[in-house]
Amino acid sequence: MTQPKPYGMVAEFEDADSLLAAARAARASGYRRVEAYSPYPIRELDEVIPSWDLLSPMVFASGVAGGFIGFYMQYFIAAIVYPTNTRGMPLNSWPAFTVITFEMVVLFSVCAVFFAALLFEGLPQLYHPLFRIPTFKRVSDDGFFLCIEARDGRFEPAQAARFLQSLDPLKVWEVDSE
Amino acid sequence: MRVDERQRETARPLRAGEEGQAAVVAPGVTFKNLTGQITAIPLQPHVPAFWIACFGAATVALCVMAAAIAILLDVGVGTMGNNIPVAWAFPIANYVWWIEIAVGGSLLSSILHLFNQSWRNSINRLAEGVTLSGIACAGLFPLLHLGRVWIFYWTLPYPNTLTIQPQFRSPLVWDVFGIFTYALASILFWYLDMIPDLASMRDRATARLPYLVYGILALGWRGASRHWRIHEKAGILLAGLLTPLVFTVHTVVSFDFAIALVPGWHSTIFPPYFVDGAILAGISMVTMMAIALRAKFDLKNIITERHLNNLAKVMLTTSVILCYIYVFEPFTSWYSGDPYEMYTVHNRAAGPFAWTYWAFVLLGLGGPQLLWWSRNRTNPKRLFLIAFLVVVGMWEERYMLMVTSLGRDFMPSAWANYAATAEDNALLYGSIGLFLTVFFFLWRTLPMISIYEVRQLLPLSKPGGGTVK
Amino acid sequence: MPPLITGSSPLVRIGEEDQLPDQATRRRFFELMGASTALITGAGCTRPPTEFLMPYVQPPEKTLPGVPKYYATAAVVNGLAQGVIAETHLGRPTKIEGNPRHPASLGATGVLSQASVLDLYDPDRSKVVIYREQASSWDAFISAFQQLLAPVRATHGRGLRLLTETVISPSTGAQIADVLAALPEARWHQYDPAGPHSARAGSLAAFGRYLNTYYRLDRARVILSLDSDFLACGPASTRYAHDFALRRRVRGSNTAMNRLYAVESHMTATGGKADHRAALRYSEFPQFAADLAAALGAGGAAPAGSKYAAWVGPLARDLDAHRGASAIIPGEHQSPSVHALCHALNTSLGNAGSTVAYTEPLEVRSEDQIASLRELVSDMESGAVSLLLILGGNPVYNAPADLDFAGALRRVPMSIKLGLHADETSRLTHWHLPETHFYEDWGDARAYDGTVTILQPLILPLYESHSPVEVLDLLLRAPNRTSREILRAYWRGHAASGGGAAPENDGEFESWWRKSVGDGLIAGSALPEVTPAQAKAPEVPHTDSTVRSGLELVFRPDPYIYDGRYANNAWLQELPKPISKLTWDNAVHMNPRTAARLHLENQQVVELKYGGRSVRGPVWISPGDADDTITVSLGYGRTDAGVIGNGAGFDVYCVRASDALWCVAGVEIATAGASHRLAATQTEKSMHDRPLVISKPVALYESDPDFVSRIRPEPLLDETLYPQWTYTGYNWGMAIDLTACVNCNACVIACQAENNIPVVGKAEVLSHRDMHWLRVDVYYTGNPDNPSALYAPIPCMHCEQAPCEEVCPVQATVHSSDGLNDMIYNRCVGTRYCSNNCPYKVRRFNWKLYADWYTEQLKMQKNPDVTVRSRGVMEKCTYCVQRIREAEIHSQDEDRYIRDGEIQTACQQACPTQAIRFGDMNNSANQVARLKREKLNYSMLAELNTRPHTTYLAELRNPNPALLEHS
Repeated sequence: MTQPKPYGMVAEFEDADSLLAAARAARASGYRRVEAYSPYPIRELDEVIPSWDLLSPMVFASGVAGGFIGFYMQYFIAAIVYPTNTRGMPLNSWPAFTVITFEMVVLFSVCAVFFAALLFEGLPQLYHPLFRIPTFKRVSDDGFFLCIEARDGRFEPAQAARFLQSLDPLKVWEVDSE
Repeated sequence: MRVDERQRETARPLRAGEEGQAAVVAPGVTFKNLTGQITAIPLQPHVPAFWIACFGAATVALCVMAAAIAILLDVGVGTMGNNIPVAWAFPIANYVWWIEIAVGGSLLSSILHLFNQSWRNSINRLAEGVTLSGIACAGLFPLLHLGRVWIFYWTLPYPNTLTIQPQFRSPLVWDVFGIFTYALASILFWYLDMIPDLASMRDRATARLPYLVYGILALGWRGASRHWRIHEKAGILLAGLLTPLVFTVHTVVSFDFAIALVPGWHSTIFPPYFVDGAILAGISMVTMMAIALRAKFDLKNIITERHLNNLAKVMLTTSVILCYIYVFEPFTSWYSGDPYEMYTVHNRAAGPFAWTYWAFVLLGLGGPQLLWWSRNRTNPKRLFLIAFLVVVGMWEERYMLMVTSLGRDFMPSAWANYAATAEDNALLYGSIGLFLTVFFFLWRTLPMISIYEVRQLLPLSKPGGGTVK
Repeated sequence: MPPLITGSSPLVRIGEEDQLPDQATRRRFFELMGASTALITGAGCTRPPTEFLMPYVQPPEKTLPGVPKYYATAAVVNGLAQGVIAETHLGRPTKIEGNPRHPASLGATGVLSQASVLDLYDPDRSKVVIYREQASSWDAFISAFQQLLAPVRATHGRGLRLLTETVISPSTGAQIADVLAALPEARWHQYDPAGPHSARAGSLAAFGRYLNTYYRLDRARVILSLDSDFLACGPASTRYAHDFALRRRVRGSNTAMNRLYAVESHMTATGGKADHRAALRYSEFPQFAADLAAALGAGGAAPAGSKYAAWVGPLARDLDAHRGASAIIPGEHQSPSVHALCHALNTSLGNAGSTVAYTEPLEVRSEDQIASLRELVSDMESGAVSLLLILGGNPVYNAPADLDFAGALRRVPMSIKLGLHADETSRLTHWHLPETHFYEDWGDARAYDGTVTILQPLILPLYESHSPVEVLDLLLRAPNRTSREILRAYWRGHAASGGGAAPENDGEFESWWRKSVGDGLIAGSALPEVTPAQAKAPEVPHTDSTVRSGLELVFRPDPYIYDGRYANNAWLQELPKPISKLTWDNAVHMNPRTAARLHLENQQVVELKYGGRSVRGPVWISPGDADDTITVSLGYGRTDAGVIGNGAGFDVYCVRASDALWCVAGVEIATAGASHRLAATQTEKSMHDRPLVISKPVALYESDPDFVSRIRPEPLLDETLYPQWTYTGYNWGMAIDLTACVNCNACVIACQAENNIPVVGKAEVLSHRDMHWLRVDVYYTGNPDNPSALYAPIPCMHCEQAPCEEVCPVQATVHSSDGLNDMIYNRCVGTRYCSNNCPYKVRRFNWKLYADWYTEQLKMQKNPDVTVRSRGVMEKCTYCVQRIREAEIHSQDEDRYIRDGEIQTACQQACPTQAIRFGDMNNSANQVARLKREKLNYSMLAELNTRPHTTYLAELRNPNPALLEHS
């Protein structure tokens, strides 16, 4: 039987401050694939553990698209497909079309936010190796975890464990990937 | 870094007595007992009697509504009291009223979020619950009042064999789009915002079924810093989108009236006037719900007097704006020199339906003025009563807008009075049943207080504010 | 119809079915197979067609489904004929139009003629012979009748009595004469509850003999109505309204107008229209007329001490100035002395022969009908009557209460009733026989001036029924003849006296017959005028009416239900009364001052007590009534009229005595606690100073022709940011002359008949859901104590910039390329937003399933060119778009422009005064375009910039300056 492939080395911390300190230390000592887990957003972590996403541009793009679709749908129907003399108004009564155009902008943008958010959060992902940590349930209550992932080029289990131990955690686990 | 500064400043919990106000979260609340307290409400095996009583009463009312709808579909809208000229009456008044209530909820959850009013953290989930329940009711009435509800979808643009499409100059079509967008946005916002707390539920669930259900709903949330970053970003974006949406959705509702040339409706003041009224009515409803639940589920430590105080202040402000509009109405009609407008104003105050007008003035405008006294703002019982009066008063206003304007417009020969029927009342009270049914269902099954947001209000959550090593 | 005694054979004779109106037999077969009611009667079986029908427009062959045919006949309204042309679709008469050749119609129709087609299809019509409340058959009746007749014949008819309504039909009269000749001991009685009793007595008093009076208002410059509603009620009202309006048409610089004075005890459509109106108690009219006569004698100086001096003086001078060009018209329910005085005034003013025409009586035998009925009742009680034959009428319901006809009828050993309905009388008679409707059978009838119309059947009888002449023929010979044979036999002998040249031979008679039937009248059959000697005015005891006290109760025939005979006509029940706008009820009318004095309020139920009899009814406060005068209308409170008429209103016959048919003084009134909701379609009668209906003196128009454009300026065409839509082809529009409208409501019924408009019933009217596409608005103006009334017919305005179109979410109402505001029922989802946004509130909504989709008979009346609307859709006036499209198709076939007047909307066609004009506005030569160029033309609510295609010509009145300055 072969050694199971490790996912990473995880340390649980007392509170947000020690987690933050640990994260800084891990980055300082050259680890790149580091992820912190906390029951609420810790904004300082954003500088420590950088990540990227395309939320804003995607929302903007789909908003613009929604606007165009919204207006053209009305123009197409009112002026081309089914033109009628309604209260003697012009076929392209654009002032009357602005409302729905706006609603479509919002509709498209909102959907974009939702799906883009899930996309970049990598959700849904119902199973994750970390869930095998017995105390990981605390992450949605009062648990603070730092994980040095095996994907990191400098990852070496024994050394990572030693490093994490040096950060005065409550406990350290080695988590296998399956 | 400046961002951090601001965050600390606003997120700093206010201690008791500071600015003569109660704290947003009472002292002594920790992560653990907080999570436990909130998740326990849905997870507790034994159902509290209060909940059973409310939910039971609500479902009974809902059944009444179901019966009324059956009759309505069988006989036709003629079972309602509407007539020519009063072709819109109860159903549309109810519709506007429910939309108002929903909009008020969104205001708390989105607008205050956008302006980073951290005090709203503990009640915004509740407000969103009010929004969703309100939308459920509001969406019903435009359908029920249709002469031929079974072809309501003709108001939507879709490729069809008739090759006929909606008429996009009609405010009703704007309404269809507005309400649909608003409903969808509210649901997405509500769900996205709730995912971390669903994770808490998942992790607290002991029985298998809740564990599975909440686990699936939580989508595998792990509270990774990446998750939080995007979650926060999406929250701000959605709030930013919902804020204009909340205003436009009720603006569009007001267009249903302002676009028409009926005297008393055909006015440019309507959009702000409707939105303001909506905030007043909606906040009042949220206040009622908050007071009821904090009392019954012992959440005084999370929904504190500070919240009641702030909610009351919002009510007071909006009611003052409303007063201004109503004081100004006679002037604008007089200044316009339009005899029909002038008559309508006179008819509202002195016509056959003057009682609705004065009922609104007394309840909707007069009621909130009691909030000038801080005693009334912080005393839950009094505040509940006042909020109740406001909600009733705002319905009277919508009803008054219908019957006084339509009943006596341009041609005296066509004037007629309106009389509501049992059907009308059954639908109105039934919809209240629907609202409470949905609301209490949400309350019983989901964390109705945003746990992770409240956590951020705790001293523990602040760098340096933590426990001693 | 075949002879009665030879039964009916199922065979259709070859070569004759095409002479029927279309496949009437086949169609009727299926229709009646469907009608369970008809199946019971066994009327489903077809009978051989044996008659010729004279087509008016098209020859009977080449029948095209969907192409209606038109037949000339007459609507017999209260015994008198109004010539009509009936539109039939595949053998089903669906719509009644006026016959332009007929003097009583001139192309227009009255309300009752319009509604007569619904009577034909009334599902409650009696369908079967009834014997002692058991269904029986004609054969059974005939055999029984022959046995009954044997003893009667033996005694030359002793004990046999005929009771009819006033008989005007010449052939029926001859038939009766034959019966009386054959059975000299038999007696014939006539009774009409609301007939011209006073007119008979009045002419007897004035001229010593019975004369028929009618008026030529086209020659009259000054008209005085003494409590007469001649414009809206009565057999000649259509013609009177036409002639009246003819002299009031102000166009351009021609401002000649006649002048109408009305003195009334109860506000009527005529009074509201009058240039001067005064309210007078019923009992004061003789004094008023006498003072007027005195003033005329004294050159316009009112007699000393006359309390009417203010009026009588100027009035007398005005009449004096128009000798021979004035007319004084007494109300039919006014006292004989008033009638006699009017005769005296008319003759002394030289009006006789010019504006007032006298002829020999129309009825076959004039008599004091009350005396005749009283004699009959006493004979019935004394047992002198062994066999009573009631041909039409409903005496048990409407005979004077003091005669107790019902009680007497119970003592008659054998009584037979022929009638359209098994009514109150049929309940007490031994036999009830179903009568044919006059659209089902041959017959003849006279118009107000004596003109005879030969009635031709438009459809085979829906049920096994027969006409009075056929029943009378049973008394004369066996086998008896059909009504057609009787009719032809009569006119074979009387063609000459009927006006036509005496036909030498059969061929000549045949052509005379065809022409008379085809034209819808017998040429030159109007009764010749007689010039009576100066009528002698009866002496009126000078009574100071101020001392006369106590309440006066005045009975009037209802304008629509008349004496009760139309109580089961749903159209008439739901048609708003001209002034009160009440539907489905009659009421106790009194003016506000009287109501205040008696502490009574609207809809409060009061009990009227008089002579030991009493009746209960709800109060309706009617401005313009005379003080201490209570007006009630006859004809309501039926118990056996049918599902429509039963229980509507209250029956006032039970307090009506034979010695006081029209008015009783000193009734007691007491509140009866409860209150009864009355359904009025218009509850607000004040215009609130809004310039909706504009009415000004003609003098103003003469001095300032542009006054209308100042009151009601039209918005400029460029008052919009939008580019204009242009209508290059047709551009339909309507112009309504308010000066001409007399509020007769014929247009409303015509619209209802043409457009399949449903009836909704009292409960729905109470919740303001009446469905009339066209309504006539009534507003009070002037002094509240003695108001005048303004009338305005309000159809859809077909706005060029229609607010309703903008707000419809599904394009269910849009504008057509020829300027119509179309309503697409199939697309409507029923948001009703369009109605909210319609400033004229002319849209109507099907709140429930109002249209009757199930009653077979009513299906037959429906106009196949118009959708029968279902539940939940909006509807409104379409300018009779079906007629427009039909005309378009014809014009395209002939490759031509639609002629002016080729399209007549239903309301326009029915209107007696031609107040409504419809046509293409793009052709400046068209009448409608010319009217819209008139300076009086204005748009209602023009400031909303809806650009209505229906515009109005402001009303002009012609008050007497002398009387104005006085009041």
